[in-house]
Amino acid sequence: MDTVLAQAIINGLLLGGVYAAYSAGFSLIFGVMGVVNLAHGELIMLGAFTSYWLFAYFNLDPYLSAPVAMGLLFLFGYVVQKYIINRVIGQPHIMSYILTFGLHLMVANIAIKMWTQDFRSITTSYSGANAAIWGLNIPYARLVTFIVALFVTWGLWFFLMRTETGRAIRATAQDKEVARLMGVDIRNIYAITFGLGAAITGLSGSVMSPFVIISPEMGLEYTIIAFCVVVLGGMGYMPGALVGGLVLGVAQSLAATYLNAGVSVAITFIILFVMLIIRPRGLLGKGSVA
Amino acid sequence: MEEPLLKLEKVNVSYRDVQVLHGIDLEVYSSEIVTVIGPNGAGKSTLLNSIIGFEAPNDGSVIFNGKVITGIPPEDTVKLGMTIVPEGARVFTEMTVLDNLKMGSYIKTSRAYRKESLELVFNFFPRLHERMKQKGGTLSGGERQMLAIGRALMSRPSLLLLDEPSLGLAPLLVTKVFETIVEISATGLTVLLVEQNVHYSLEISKRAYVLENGKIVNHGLSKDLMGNEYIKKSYLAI
Repeated sequence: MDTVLAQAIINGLLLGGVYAAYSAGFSLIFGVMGVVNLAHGELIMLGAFTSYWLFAYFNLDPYLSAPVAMGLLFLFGYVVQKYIINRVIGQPHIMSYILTFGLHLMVANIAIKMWTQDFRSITTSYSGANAAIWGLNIPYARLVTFIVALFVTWGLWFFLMRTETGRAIRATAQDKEVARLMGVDIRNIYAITFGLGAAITGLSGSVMSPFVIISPEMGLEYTIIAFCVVVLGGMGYMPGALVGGLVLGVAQSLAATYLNAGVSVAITFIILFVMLIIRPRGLLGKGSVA
Repeated sequence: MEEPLLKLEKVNVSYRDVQVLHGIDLEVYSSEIVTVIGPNGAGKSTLLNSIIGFEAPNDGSVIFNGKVITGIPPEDTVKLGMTIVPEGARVFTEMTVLDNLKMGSYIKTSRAYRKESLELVFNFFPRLHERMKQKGGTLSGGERQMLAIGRALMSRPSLLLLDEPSLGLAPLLVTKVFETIVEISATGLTVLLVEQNVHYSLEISKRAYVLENGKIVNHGLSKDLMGNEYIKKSYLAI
């Protein structure tokens, strides 16, 4: 294999890992509650800003502030679901689109008020550093994000399959009435699920902060990519976000290498379009949380 | 005379403007099997829903174990010791048989006895033990009904509600389901059974209520009702 192709694939996998890291929460929230969270990118933004401020004021490394971002975002997600989104559960889908779009606007604009529209970045010692193996470049920060994506996918799977709460989440996703008959307080389960989705998304924002541009308006772009990744991989199926992310990442990277950079964005939507025609449930999707 | 385990007093239930249940009085005593029979659309499922908590009665009261539980939602009634096998079994199709059963003992009080409860259920239904790792959706209709009953037993209820457990099953399986209900009742569990299969349900139950157009039109000992001319003509086709 020639070095250019190998490098393109590695870049693609690493990019895909980033996509997967920030899309898993989107998939979880959709799979359990049927809510397409249009404020998803804001969760990434809040995670990134948590790390930014802790870095700016306390010189705390983003990897060390990641757990803080997770905790804060869990609380944020829990409260948002419990007091806001729970009000439209069971209503037509359009209600949750409007509500979460409103949340997107509100959170982004409050962030602009508080932190201005400035672009910010975190420059750590490893921000631009690469490992060179067999003549291939592997940026450390992206590699870490890739590993975080694997860990998040595994951790979420483990949580859903092996814990009491995880089982209740799956039961609620499949048949919420019967889940209630089992004694499950589904509103609380929804709040926990959104909290969990927000926490892993905040984590992704935090670990991406060393190599992305951080601004209050960064969110929407990520929401769109997360949507594509999750539709491609299969909505609601946890490993789907990983597979969707990797496929999309590699496709974009190959397009950027062999065609041109502009085409790589178009490729995303061409893949999404074709996918919706030939296999709307996604590569691995089954139409329910598992 | 002892207090009934479950008592309904003049329960009225409406969907929007349409009244579905009219002044239902019903009693279930500890350890009996009581059945509610009636045609399709008589309000049988609504009756169970108003007990378990999916429908809040707009009038009257539901008393369980001496406590007024009118309008308490299902996630809380299960904690008081009653559980339901819903119509059509409604097993979690994407979950394994074992996970389905574990969901049955989700509430904290029954979680403590999970191991013993699993043994009990597998004793009743060895088939479920064989299929433990299979997904609920891969089971046959009869097996799903067993799983739904097993799942209900996992919460260690004192009152078991059954909504049309024989619906859609092959005749041989229908017999099996009714035999199982008798076996379960023999362990001391109280059963309220709603059925369209009048013949079998009168046979296994002690007392019965006849529900037509949302009203109790007749009730009494099941063996007496079996001899009743009206019941014979309308329900048993004799």
